[in-house]
Amino acid sequence: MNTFFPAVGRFFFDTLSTVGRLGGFVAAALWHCVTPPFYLKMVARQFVAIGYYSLPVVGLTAIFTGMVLALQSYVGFARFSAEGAIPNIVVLTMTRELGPVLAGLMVAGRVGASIAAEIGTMKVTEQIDALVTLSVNPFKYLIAPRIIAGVISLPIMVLIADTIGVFGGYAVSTASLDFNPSLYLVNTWNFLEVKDVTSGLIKAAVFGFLITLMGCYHGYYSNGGAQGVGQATTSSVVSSSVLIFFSNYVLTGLFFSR
Amino acid sequence: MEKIKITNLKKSFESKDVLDGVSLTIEEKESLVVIGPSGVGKSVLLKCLLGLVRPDSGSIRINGRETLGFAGIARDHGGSKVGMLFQGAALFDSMKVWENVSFQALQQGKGDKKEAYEKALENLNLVGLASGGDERVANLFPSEISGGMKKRVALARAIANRPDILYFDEPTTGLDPISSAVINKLIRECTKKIGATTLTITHDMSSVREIGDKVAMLYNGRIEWHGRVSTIDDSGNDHVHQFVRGLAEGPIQMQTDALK
Repeated sequence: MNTFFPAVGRFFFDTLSTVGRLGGFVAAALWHCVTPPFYLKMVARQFVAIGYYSLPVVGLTAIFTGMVLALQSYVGFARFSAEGAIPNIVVLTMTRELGPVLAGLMVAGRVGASIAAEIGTMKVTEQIDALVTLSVNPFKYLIAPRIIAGVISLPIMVLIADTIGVFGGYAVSTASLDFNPSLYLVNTWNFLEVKDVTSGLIKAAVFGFLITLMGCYHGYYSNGGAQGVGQATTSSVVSSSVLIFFSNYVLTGLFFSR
Repeated sequence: MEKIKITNLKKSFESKDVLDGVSLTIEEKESLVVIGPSGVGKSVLLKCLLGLVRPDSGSIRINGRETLGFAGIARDHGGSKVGMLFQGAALFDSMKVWENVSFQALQQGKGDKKEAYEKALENLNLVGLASGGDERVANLFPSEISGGMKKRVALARAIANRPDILYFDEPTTGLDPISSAVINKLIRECTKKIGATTLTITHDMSSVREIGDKVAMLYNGRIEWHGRVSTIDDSGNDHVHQFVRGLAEGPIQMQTDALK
């Protein structure tokens, strides 16, 4: 008993202090995203690093997902002669769910890890302290540009991923499942609602925020040299992936619940 | 005139009192060196001055103005411009040497890029890295130069803004004796040239003798001794005597329990 209660108390306080630290970090990050000075050059650089260089991996994920969707739903739907629904299935699944979630996960692995490693290394080599002594706020210079770039670039990437994913389904359906090409496209377009796409894009923006935020947070609070930085990258990828799935459920509930 | 006045500064981590009532005064254009064994809180003292660590209590006055504001963290430096040389140089490794040196000017958008480049060369020249208009080092990345050169670049960056206060965190750690001597000499020259008040923390006695006007010894969270550099050899203080001579036996007990 002598060790039990202190352990409980310590756990309780540690949890509270972590939550408090994270809350303070989020508030500071958001505040510095919307107040000048803005380092537009840094935003542009991050936009290229986060968005542009993630396009190949996101595009590849999307095209194979679209192709698999068409194949798998054909197998299932052929059992009760509903193959005609494949164009809708592909486009709805891509725009509402798989586009944003898979793009988010790929970016979390690619970008979240690199942000955490970069900021973490800057932290342990005192480069962040050096920024402060050179009168540059690290939140404005390092963190805000990454978050802004993430929130803007993820929806654009998801829009591209949606298109590529639909094309993947189209390619498989017309090439090996004997679909009429023009009928496939007409069906895709006719059953698509604006909300299907916009809900996916809003999800993407939220994921972009979470990924960059987690990368920055874990990097900023990393300590203890190489091991600490390694820990930070792992934590960044794990926490942003979990947050993506969690927020995806919450957002889906908000958008589509009756 | 008093430039920096630290009064009864306290800071503890968990339950360990790192700074337990430090009081120090640095006169204008004076060079004070703070010595003390490793882990005694020298770096924490510096970080409190820079506003990177929030002290628990006490006061830091610069130019007669209190710098510990509402949040308890040093925000402005009493109107002074401050430069800092970090122990590991802390150069931005994504930028070239000249961009590091002119970082502040580039960020504040003062003048154009060419002007910033010229200024960087001028500052690199002060630390002997661009003598005779040699622009090679300026266009290298920090990963491409040696440790001693990194320290010199960091010094050029610290003085680029012509600060009136300069802080040095173990400027010679990890350098060979010759590079150390060069850095010490450059620090002395540069601070004299720009007329800055300086605070150096170190445990390298050659630095102390070369850089310092006055010396303060930090031990057990307090200033154990404070005096002119010339008097350090006959300070009459056992702690200082042990430290200056580098004796294993004496009042300062290092944590060697693990070895027993």
